[in-house]
Amino acid sequence: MSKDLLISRRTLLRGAGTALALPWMEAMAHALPGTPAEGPVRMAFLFVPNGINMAHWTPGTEGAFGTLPSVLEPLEGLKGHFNVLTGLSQYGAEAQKDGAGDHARSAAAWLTGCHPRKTDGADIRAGISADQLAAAKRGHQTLFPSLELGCERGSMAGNCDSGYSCAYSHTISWRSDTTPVAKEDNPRLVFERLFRVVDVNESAAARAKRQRYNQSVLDFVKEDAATLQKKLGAHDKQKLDEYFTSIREIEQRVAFLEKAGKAVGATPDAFQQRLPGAGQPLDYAEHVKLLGDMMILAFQADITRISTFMLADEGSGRAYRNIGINEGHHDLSHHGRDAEKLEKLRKINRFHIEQLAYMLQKMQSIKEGGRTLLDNTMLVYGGGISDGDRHNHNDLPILLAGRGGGAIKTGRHVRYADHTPMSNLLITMLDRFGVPGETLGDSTGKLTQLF
Amino acid sequence: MVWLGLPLVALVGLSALAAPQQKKPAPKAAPFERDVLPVVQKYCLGCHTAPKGAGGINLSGEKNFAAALKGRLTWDRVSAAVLEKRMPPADAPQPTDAEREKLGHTLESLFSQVDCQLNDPGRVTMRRLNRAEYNNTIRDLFGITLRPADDFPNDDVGYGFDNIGDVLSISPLLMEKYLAAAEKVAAEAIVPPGLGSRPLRAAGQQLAGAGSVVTNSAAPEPYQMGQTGDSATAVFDFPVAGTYTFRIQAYEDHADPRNAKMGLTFDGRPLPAVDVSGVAANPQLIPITVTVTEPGRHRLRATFLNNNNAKDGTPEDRPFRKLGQDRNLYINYVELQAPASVKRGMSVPLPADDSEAAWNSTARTFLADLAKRAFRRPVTSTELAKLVTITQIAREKKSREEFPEGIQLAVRAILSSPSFLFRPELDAKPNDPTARRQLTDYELATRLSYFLWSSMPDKELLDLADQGKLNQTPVLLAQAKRMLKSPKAAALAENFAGQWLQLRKLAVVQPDDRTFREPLRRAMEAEPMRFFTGVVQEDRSILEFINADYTYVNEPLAKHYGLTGVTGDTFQKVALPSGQRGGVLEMAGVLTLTSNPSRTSPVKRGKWVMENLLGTPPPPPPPNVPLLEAQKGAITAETLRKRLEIHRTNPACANCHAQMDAIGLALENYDLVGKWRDNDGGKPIDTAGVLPDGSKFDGPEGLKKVLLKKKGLFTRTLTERLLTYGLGRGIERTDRCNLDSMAKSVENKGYKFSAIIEAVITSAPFRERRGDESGKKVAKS
Repeated sequence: MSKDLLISRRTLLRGAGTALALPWMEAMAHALPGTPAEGPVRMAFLFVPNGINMAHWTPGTEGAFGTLPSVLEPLEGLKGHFNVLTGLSQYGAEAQKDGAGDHARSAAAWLTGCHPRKTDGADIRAGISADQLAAAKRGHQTLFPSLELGCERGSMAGNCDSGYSCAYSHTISWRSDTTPVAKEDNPRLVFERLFRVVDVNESAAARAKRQRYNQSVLDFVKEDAATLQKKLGAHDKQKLDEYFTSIREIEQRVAFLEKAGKAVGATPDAFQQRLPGAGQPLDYAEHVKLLGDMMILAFQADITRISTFMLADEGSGRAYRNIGINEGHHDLSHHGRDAEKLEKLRKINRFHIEQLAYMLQKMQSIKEGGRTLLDNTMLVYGGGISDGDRHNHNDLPILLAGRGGGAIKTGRHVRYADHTPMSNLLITMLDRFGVPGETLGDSTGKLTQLF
Repeated sequence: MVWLGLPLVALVGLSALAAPQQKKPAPKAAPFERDVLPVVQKYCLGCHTAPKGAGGINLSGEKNFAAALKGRLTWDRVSAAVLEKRMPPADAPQPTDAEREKLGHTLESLFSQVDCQLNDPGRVTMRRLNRAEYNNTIRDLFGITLRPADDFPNDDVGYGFDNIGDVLSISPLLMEKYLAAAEKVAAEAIVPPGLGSRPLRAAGQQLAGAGSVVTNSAAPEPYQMGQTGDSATAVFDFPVAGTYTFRIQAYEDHADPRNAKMGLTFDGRPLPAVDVSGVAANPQLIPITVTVTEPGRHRLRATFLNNNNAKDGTPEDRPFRKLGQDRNLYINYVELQAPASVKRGMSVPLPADDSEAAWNSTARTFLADLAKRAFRRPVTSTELAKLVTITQIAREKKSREEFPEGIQLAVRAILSSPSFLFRPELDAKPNDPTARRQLTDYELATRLSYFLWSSMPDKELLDLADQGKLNQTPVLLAQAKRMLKSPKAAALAENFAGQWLQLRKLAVVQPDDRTFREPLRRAMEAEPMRFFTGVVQEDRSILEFINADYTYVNEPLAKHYGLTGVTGDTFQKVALPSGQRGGVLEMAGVLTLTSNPSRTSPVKRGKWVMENLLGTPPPPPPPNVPLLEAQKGAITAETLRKRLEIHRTNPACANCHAQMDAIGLALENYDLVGKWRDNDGGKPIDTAGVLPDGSKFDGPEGLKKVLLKKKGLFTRTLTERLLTYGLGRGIERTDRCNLDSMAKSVENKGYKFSAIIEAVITSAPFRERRGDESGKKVAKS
């Protein structure tokens, strides 16, 4: 490794004393051990609620794309970079004698493949989700094991769906079968967290002192937790375990930073300007784009390789006024085959795909060695409900973008046998991500026809 | 600590023998043998016979109730499964409805009798502070109004509330925020001697309004107002009534010949406008003095009055316009200086000298008190020693001047530790459900305080706990009375009523109505809470939630209601003319949050009433039934009422909708933002209805009369909601008996609000605890 290729912190400094982590660059590939020259593989899961107008989603023919259905038209320019996978299903989301609650179940099952326990609070339980499994196994390679984003703030009040705790419909990431992972919705806070504004003029002594202080706090709290543990019941211990796990992850992050001696670069002013100030309202499309940008930036800078992003919470009643739709999305999704409602749904579905197109284009424009960021990514887009009126969880709308590091053949509509578990796609992705041999929920084996 | 230690089995055995049989001296067979066993034998044992019963359920062993009671978890499932017709499976012979009911109801009533005798306190999973509790605790611990938790991720909701131990989890993201918040709070709260009462500052980016933040400018990101009418709003917490001083640092640019003019309002009341002549390099500091009579949140708004462009400019401006000399107004920050009486943060005493001994003893004294308040219990000597050791990390130059920094570090440790972030109640036998005990006084003080104040116990509560007196019922009740009168009890309105009535949904509703703007939205949210606070603090009847002849409004809401004579942002109590408003049901907020974005929803309104006032939520719709508007023909029906009638022709829907629709349709005189209307788009409104129990009514007033007749249901519902909120866990079957007697006592005390609080805080579930019963189950999975 030539010393010249190492980017020093100073050479990248711009502006007024603030800096952030360096975007992934070819030079860095040589600088950081363990990073392949072509860029690492990333995985992302983008979720949309309330089902899809499937007539305008599923391509008419199999194999190489012909004319794209109208919902997918915004992806025309990216035709060669994604697949539509038809026939996948999430059995965990089915009622299985639990009655109503398809919305809550479909979100909870989407990445876990599990049938969530019906409860309004006590003993919430689903299963570990694919992203979190990947983060647990491979997350140590980056500063943040994973990133969880969403445009909606989550639970407000009341019961979310027919006797299911709101925890189920407001996240798709589960750290363990009992711990749903909270998502972040505020672009400004995500930005500050990921690209922590560091005082680059801080002296070595000051930094050492800060680290000493931080460590003393962590040592104290760990001892406090250990003392408590002996006198806690089983359920309490679960909560304390969450605490321990979180502390451990933060410690690992500190260690990671020290080891990598992470380089820092300039803050993209243009980007920061788009961030809303506290209390300022945010246009929904802009909100999606901003969080998408954040995910892409985090991938690009190799701050994380795994992300989930809920464009809206499951069962969301958002009115898409920005595209002229006044009715709530959930109400519309129960269309009863009414043509006008189906048309409005198509518009909403297409609007979401426009946001996806924005993100994919951006990822495609970022070069990583001979490939692009999109080439190096496996991005699943879709939801756990097929038709919003029937609430069915087979024939799910699933789109897989990117080539997962060049391995996946793209540009095709692939049809699987009806009721093929979506979990099979998830374990196939995990395998490709470097987490082989896993099972997830109802998975039965790896998915064929992808490579 | 008092260990009751009555073994569960002993109690169970006793009641099983005593209760059911004493009542029936006749030589009849016991109910279990008479009503349950034959049905079980006929329909269940085919599959559920020991030792290899289907699904691990064996029902063949238990021949009498005492035996069944030992396998209670299983038998509870039996009654539910049979009543809900989930068992026997469809391909097996089916019991008649009468048989199902006999089995189900007999089991339930037998168990219920046991429950009453056992009076099981249940088990609350250790609760972590939620966002509101975190903010309030920081406020009361240090006297600062930083609200760090506003940036935390939302807390999950279970059983309708966001303070349920089981669903409050910690993720690395949240932990990170805790660590950062601890650092920020320590820096803000712990101040060297003599540096009390720092002004609060809202920087440009913390101002809200139509302006924008200039990020590429020299520090510190001024807030720019470029158009006439652009405004900047700063909201502060005013801890006490008194005289405060604002200081606005502002400047303008390109303003010849006239200076920029800044209009000012405080809580909507106009203040004299100010000429701003300062420039970026030399901004102007504008002092404004205001007096507040009510502590709480107040807002200062600055508005740009004289932009220079074709639309807004004046003739004098015209020549300059051609030179491209626009006029803009900028605010760097708004500062609030509290009266001298207000202390923000804690002033730390310095050690007497630079010696280590002086350092340690000062630290010990200071931290023993602080940690006790933070942990809501006396701190152990080991904990204290560790905290003192931490402070010494800052003692690099061995100077006493470093002391505050050392304390700050210890404060960070305190605020990041589980003893602060959670509210642990430690047991000697945490996984033994028969190990039952009374709460310690400190635990009781903590439960009480987070229940009524969403915050830590104050000095008086901790002092009583020190003296071991809080457990005495009269003392406990007197404290609750005192606490409900305190301004801190506003937390009960914000966090309990805000969720009980689902007012928090108002933050996200999007009604298609031009009048629904931010001031009105805020007022809609505030009215029910203000009303709730009134009932709490004046200890009024809870039936006023259903109907009252007064409410609280400010100007935007008064206009919305067509009431005259109310001006300004501040809420005031007004008498209501009869007929259109009175009680939560007719408050615009409730009517708005139960509407669809494009129209009213009688179904949602009906469901809201059944759920939140009557505690009889309709079951979720059966699968594969289309929603209201989705059915054939429904779209063409002229009015909503007709559409609903068509919907009810489906027998699967009729049962529940008969009640929901009738209630909701009675409220059709209110549009989708709760404004009164006499007709719907020119069509007359029919608000008459009949409930399945035969009660007839017409319109909102008639509906309220019917609801008042159901005051027993309402009382039980509100009691149940408050118990859930107070305990932080869902209501179990074993609580039902308790709940019945609680509701009864509220009735006996004339429906006073305090009666519910008394019932809750003196109940066994609130004052006692026992070990966890499902330890094994969790460990296994």
